Amino acid sequence: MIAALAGAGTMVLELAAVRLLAPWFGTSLVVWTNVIAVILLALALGYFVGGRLAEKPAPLRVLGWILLVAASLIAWLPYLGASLAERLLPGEIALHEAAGLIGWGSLALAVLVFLPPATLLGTVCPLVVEGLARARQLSPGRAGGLVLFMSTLGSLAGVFGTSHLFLPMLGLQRTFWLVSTVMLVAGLLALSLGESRAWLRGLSCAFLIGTSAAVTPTRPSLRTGMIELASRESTYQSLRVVEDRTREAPLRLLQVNEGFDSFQSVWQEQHGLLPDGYYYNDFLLPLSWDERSPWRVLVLGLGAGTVARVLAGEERDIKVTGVELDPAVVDLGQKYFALSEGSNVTVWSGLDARTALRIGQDEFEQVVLDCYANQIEIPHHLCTVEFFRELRERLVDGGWLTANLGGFDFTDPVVFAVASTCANAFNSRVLLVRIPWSRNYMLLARRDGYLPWSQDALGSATQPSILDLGPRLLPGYARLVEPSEVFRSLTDDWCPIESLQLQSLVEAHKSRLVVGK
Amino acid sequence: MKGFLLSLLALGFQEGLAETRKAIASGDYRGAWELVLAESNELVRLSGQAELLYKAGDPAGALKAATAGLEIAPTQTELIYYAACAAIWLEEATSAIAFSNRLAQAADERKDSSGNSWRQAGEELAVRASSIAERDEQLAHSVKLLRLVAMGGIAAWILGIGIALLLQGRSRRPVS
Repeated sequence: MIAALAGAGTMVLELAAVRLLAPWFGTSLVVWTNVIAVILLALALGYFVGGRLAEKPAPLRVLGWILLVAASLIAWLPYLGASLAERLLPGEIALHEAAGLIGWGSLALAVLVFLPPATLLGTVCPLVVEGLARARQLSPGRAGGLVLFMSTLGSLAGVFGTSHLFLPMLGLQRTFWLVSTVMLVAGLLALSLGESRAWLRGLSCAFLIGTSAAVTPTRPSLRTGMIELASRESTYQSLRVVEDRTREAPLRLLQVNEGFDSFQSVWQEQHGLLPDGYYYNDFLLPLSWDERSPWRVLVLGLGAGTVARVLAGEERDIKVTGVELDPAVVDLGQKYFALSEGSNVTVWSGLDARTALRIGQDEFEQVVLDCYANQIEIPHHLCTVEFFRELRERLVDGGWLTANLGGFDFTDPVVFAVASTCANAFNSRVLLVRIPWSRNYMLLARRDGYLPWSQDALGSATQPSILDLGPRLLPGYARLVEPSEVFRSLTDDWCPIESLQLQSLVEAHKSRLVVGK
Repeated sequence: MKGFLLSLLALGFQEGLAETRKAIASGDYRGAWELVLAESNELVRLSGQAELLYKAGDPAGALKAATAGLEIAPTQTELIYYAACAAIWLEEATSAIAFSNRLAQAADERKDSSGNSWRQAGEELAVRASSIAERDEQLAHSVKLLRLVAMGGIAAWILGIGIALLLQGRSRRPVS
């Protein structure tokens, strides 16, 4: 039983650890790697130390003490993590500044905050094995097998419980308290098996856990003039709705696992175009050259509904079907971003974009692809040649794919790889358009249709639209990408998008230096 | 003589770019681009490109054009101004500081009435450039600190455990 509780506690700790770091570092592969590495190191050390402690005359008593200390530590982790992050990191980190900070920062925080309690939890198994072997006169192999069986079952329960129950229902701090309380119970159980006055020790530990309730962990501070309207822990991410009141017309932003200056959705009171520099406006690009009406749009990565509100500014009959993986995002969208379902907007909530493509039967004049995970990454299954082929099938003849890509240049590793992969999947050239006053690019691809290209630049608009093409018509603002057999497309089997993304952040910084000189 | 030539050049700039600026102000970037390309004076052309690209939201392009123009006319204030602004936008501290200082210096050499305004602009840009440099330094310091904490933390924890086990091993009682 104790082994099962410790196993569950370790897994909850690991999953919640990533979520605890998320507001400062996101939840990219680098962060996951660092957290898993630290937990594994801690467990290795814990097993070794536990093995040595098991030689003590009363292993269950030692175990009880260890669990009580672990319980006290775990209760304070949310506060400790937030305080240390505040002290160690500079404020208001922009996304392009984050390259070095993500890797070393998440490792440093994981070491400081999670290495000690996870090491303590690692000592549990050897101690329980020893206690069991001695108490029931079992062979070491049998005792070990039994303990591993229970511990792994506990871990299994911890994994599912954390993702589907604890984090969405209790939130982060209470999840840590829950683990802490469970460790307290396990500690008392161990002590009660070893000595009679266990409750006295437990009382002091419970006091320590209780006092942690008096402190509230901080989140990354907001810029002056911004206020927080709501925050929530969902199954997938930490969500925060903030309002920027420094502008004449306030803007609301949905931030996801945010420590940087990026955002997932934007709202302003008026529908239609957002201020310059917001890439959502450029999803209107196809309307400048295509006169069809009604215009059916599938939005993969609806978020809180920004694209639907921008499209609503057009006079054409536009029908939007939005797919959003996280139901909590849709819920916040309805409350704070005026996302309302009606005759023109249909929301498929809780569905992965690729699954939605396979389930749906409808065809669309335009597919908007705006899926990002872990702040900076395009999910690997949403940028492969197989995915783009499936997506192409959902377009009517002459239909448009518009995809938002973050990058510093046309040669950005992510921008180039995704555009080339898309060109190969569509088996035709695609267009990359720089989004003015922004660090994003818009990828345009068509199913069996001409792209608006004139000599050396984007072709002039032929249809009325609220989007003025303006600087996008300048030479150098758009580039054609041809399908190529030489380029190795991203595939479901080979898609190093995470490393490309990291490379993009590093090269963005380098390229600035080169250009500057 | 040099001052006279510079004045002539500045006048040429004003005339050469007037139409371009009108086009930019009306949102006709493509038209402005055509006007700039049609300009026979290379310096005016590069200056127009720098201004146009900067206003069109392409600081990297603006910086390239301005830098190319400054190779022809190293003290041309408009070009230095756009180079400094673009470098600041790109958060390239070293260039931003260099161009801001250069702007203040070039303003001092101007004989016309706009010298003070350029000097003031140079000073304002220098302040912004300095804050970018400070930020870069702060970030570099943070990365160093975090690296030290991460590696030091792991080493300290392993060392601590090792020492504790050694001490415990000495006082260990025999197990029956």
